Amino acid sequence: MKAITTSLERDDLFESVLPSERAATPDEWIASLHTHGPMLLAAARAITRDETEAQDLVQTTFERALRAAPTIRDSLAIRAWLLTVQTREALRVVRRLRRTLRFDPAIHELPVGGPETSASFELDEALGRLSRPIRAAVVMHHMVGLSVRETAVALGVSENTTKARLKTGLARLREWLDED
Amino acid sequence: MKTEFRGGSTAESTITRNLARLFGEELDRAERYFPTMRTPLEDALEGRRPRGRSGLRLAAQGIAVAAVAVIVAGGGWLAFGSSVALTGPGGPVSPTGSASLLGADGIPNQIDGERVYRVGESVESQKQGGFLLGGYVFQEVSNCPADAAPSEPCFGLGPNAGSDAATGGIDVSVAIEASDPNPPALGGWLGMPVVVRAKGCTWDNGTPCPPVVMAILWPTVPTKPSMGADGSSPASLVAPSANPPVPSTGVGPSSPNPGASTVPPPTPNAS
Repeated sequence: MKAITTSLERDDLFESVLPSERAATPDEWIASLHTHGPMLLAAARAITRDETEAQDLVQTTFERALRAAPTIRDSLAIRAWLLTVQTREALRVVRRLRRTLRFDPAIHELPVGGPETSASFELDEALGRLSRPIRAAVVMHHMVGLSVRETAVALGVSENTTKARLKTGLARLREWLDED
Repeated sequence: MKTEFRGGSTAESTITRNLARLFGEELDRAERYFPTMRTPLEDALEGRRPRGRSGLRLAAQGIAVAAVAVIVAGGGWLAFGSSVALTGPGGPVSPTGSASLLGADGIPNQIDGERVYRVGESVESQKQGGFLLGGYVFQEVSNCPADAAPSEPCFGLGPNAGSDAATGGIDVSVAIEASDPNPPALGGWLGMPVVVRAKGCTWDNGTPCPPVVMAILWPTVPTKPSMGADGSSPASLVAPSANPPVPSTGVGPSSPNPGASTVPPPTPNAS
C-alpha cells in the first residue's frame, strides 16, 4: 500500500495513459472531465455509502484532474484514470481516518438510498455490508464495468488480489441475499 | 461490462446482473443530481479560483491552466498557476532595461527587439533564455504555495492594473539561486506594469507550473514605494548582477501590436 500512495503522490499514473498527437485545450479538457461527473458520483456513492464523502471524492478527483491539465486524451483512459484516482482516494481516506478513530459501521455505511425495487434494496443493503476494499472491487468491476486489470490498478493491488476480492464479495453477497 | 471474470455460478451471474442494474439506477440519480453540484470545473470555466481549502489551492493551478496558458513548441504546457515570490534585502538599482514602444496596456511590446508576451498569450517558441512577459504586479493573498515562507508575500502578473488571480491574473514564481543574494523581487512594483524575463516550468510529471521570473527588465526601478516581504519594510528591487543592462529598444517593423503607440515608458522616481 505504501508503494501505491507514493506512486499516486508522484502523479506518475499519467505516464501509463495513452499519449496523443494533440493536447486538448483547457476548455476541451474541462468539458471532457465534466462528462464523467455523473459516473464518478455514482461510483463514489456506491463505494462510500455516504453522500457527503462521495461528493468530496468527486471534488478531489476533479481537483487532481485539473492539476493534471490536458495530459490524457483518450476518453476511456480518462475514465479509468479518474476512477483510479477516486477509488484510491476513497481507500486512502479510510486508512487515514482509521488511524485516529474507530468507525461505527452502522453510521459510516448508511446507504445513500434510492433503490427503486425491493431486490435492488436488498442488494444495495448487502453491498453496504461489504468491507470497503471488497466493495470497491465489486463496484469497479461488476457495476462500473472496469476490467479486472483496470480494477486492480484502481485499487492499487495485484490482479490476483482483485480476483480474490471479487470472489469473496460475490460469495458474501450471495450468502446474505440467500439469508433474506 | 467486461466478462473476463465473473465468478461462475448462476446465482452469482444473477447478482452481477443486478449489480449492473443497481449501478444503472445510481447513475440515473447521479445524472440528475450532478448538474446541481458545484465542482472545481465550474470555477475553472469561469476563471475563478477556489479559496479557503488547501486542496482547492491545488486546483487553482488547473484553473489557471484554463484561464491563461503559454504553449511552448514541443507540446509542453506552461501554466501560470501558483505563486512563489520573494523579496530580498534593499538597495539601489541600476537601470537594467528600457523600451520605447508601449502597448495600449502601458507595457512595452518589445525590448531590444524581443517580443514581450502578455498574460494569456501563447509563446510561439521555446527560446533559449526564456521569454519576456509583461503584466501588472499584484499580491496574492490566499494562494501562496505551500513551500513559501509565511512571511513572504506571493505575487502574480495581471493583464491590467487592478487585475488579480480572480480576474485573469497569473501567479509567478521567482528563480532563487543559492549564490544570488538579491533575487528579483516584485514587491517594489505592486500595481505597476513590469516586463520580466521568464522561463517555462513543468513539474516532474510533465504538468505545468507557474512561469519562473528570472529577472525584472522594465521598468528599471519602481515608481512608488516598494513593499518588503513582511509588508512593512522596503524590499530590494533587482540585483544588478541578475539583470544585465539591456540596450534601448527601437520599434521594429514586425511589431506584434500594430496599434501600439510610442508613448515613452514611465519615468523612474529613483535616481
